[in-house]
Amino acid sequence: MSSDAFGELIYVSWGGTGRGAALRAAYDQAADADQTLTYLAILDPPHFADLDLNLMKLVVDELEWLLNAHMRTVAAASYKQVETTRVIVRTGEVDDEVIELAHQTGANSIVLGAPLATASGTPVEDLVAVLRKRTGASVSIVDPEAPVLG
Amino acid sequence: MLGISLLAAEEGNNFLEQELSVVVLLTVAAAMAIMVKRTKMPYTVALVLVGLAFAFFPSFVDLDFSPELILGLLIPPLLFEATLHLPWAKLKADLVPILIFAIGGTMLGTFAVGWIVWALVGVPWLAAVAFGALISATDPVAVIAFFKSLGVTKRLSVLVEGESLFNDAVAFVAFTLAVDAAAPDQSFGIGNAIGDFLIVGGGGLAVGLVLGWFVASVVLARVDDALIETTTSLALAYGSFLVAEEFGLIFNIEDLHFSGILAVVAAGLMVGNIGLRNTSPTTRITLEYFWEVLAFLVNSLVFLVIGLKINLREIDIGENILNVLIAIGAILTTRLIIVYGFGAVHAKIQPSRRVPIPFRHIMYWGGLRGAISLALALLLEESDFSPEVVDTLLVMTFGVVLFTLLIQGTTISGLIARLGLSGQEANQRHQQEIQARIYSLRAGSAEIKRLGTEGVLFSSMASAMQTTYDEEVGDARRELSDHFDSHPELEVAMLLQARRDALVAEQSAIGEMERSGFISTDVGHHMAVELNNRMAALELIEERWETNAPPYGELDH
Repeated sequence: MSSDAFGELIYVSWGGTGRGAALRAAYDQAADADQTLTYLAILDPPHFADLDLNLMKLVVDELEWLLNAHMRTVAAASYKQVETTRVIVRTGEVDDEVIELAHQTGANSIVLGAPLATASGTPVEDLVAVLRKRTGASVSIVDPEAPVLG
Repeated sequence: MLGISLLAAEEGNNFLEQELSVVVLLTVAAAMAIMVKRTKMPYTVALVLVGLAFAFFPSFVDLDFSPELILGLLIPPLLFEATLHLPWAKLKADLVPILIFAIGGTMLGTFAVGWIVWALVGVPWLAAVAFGALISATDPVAVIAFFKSLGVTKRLSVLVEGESLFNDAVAFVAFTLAVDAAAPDQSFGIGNAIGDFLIVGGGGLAVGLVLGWFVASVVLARVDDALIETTTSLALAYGSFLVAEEFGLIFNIEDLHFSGILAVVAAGLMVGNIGLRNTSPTTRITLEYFWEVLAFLVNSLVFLVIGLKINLREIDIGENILNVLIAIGAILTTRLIIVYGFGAVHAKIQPSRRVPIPFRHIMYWGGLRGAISLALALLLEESDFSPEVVDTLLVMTFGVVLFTLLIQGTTISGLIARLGLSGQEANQRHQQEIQARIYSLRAGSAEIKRLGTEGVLFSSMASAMQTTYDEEVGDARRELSDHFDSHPELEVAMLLQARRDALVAEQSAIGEMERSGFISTDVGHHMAVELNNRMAALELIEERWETNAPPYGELDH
């Protein structure tokens, strides 16, 4: 992580890569704020709990490969520059994983880009409220089709 | 002795004729698959048309598919393959509307269509009910093929496939009850019918669940051999159907049989949702490829046979046209009530999972009839209904199947596009156009460079032309980037496709090295297994990560 950066932006996705210009918008937002960017992809229980450990590891590795390639594609296409980017793939509940990573990195921005309206059964609006309260970071949904949240 | 030899020779010739007919049908199926790739026509519709054409060349294909053969040999693998790819998580999420449409809708369809046919065509009540049941079984093969090619959301596929799988089973049970009740010593009472329905349906589900659980949790979990596991899955598909249908015979309980179709559906769901996760990635890929090929073969045969069975030369169109029109009117009206009426009821019961109106339009117009309806209609030949009644119902069934395949099947893609459910199509096409432009411009640029290097072109001219080409390539690249900005799902799809292609290329490279002797067979095998594992992981990601779910809220418009 660059010491010159003004904090960290975590882009969170679960259940899919995200609709709209999600990752691109998150990338540009991190570049504008001179933040480092972490792409946190979460394989949550409703979709992946049934996989055995070996298969789960394969899926994590493959997704990490794909998302790294995706991140590089987005970086190459953008006119802006984020100094440090990384991809992390985790398994578990969405709120737990985001909170844990936010505490580890001291992230000051969290951007949700998942295409699903719920995270492990929780409405995404409730998730936003929980993340704001537990991490102290600014939390937003970067999806052009998402409802405006206060 | 001579007589026996002649008989043997005759049997041998008959077998050869049948074998030749199967070869002809498979060749035709493959040829049609190639041809329809360039047209908008569904593959199954094309097969039915070719099958119909065979009626005018009777000596060309001499194949006698009995109804038992279609039901017992061709239907189980079709249903099993369809359920293999039906994720329980998604099915469970929409189980309420699926069951409402499949059980409530099929029961309503059975009696409503039955009543219309009884009143207007004048066939006996039980025969009309049997027709109502058999014609209520929807067949989504042609529609699902469109969903895949047009990139329609997975939820709509699950709704359509789920309804079809369960209504096949319900229709089959209702049909059997109506036909059995028509036997001389039998009677038809609603109370008895519901009781029998629960026993036959519940028993079928139980048989499928038990056998499916055994194969999924014991065999597939403990045996690590792709060939054995695939063979076991094949045995399960046919075995669950047979055990359910012949339950009484196997366990010496008189007159007891269960729904084979429901048994296959339950067994397929167990293998698809529990069994596949208990297998190694290599087995998973082998098993899925095997079932994909088998489903293609069986589907091709079923739809060609449908065409063959509808012997156009023998049907008196003038005499039957009114009955067919009544049947078409009955199914369209009843389907209207089922999809929109029951859809509205479901929206009240479960507002959070209401089926969007555009989805209902597709479910209405996409309610095609096919293999199951036809196979059940052919079974009428062995019922106690009079031959005249059976002939009337057969022609009506053929008419409805033809109408749904030829009219609804060929217009459904237009409806999907009109409703904006195939949004990816135009965007994807535009993406491909830009990519093609970049590719061709780069080829032109390379040629100019070659001509310049070889001295055919003046270097200043070559340089100027290359600069012009480079500018055009730059413009096209920026346009592609802007396009991805607006439609990033295309970027992800492209990434996944490229990754899949790259893994296939890696597999070929490993095979090539092994064949050339650069690496040992052991190393080659080890690397091939590793690549298979990565391919399986990629497929899981495509299946579960890229869900294609609507972002927020519903698609009502």
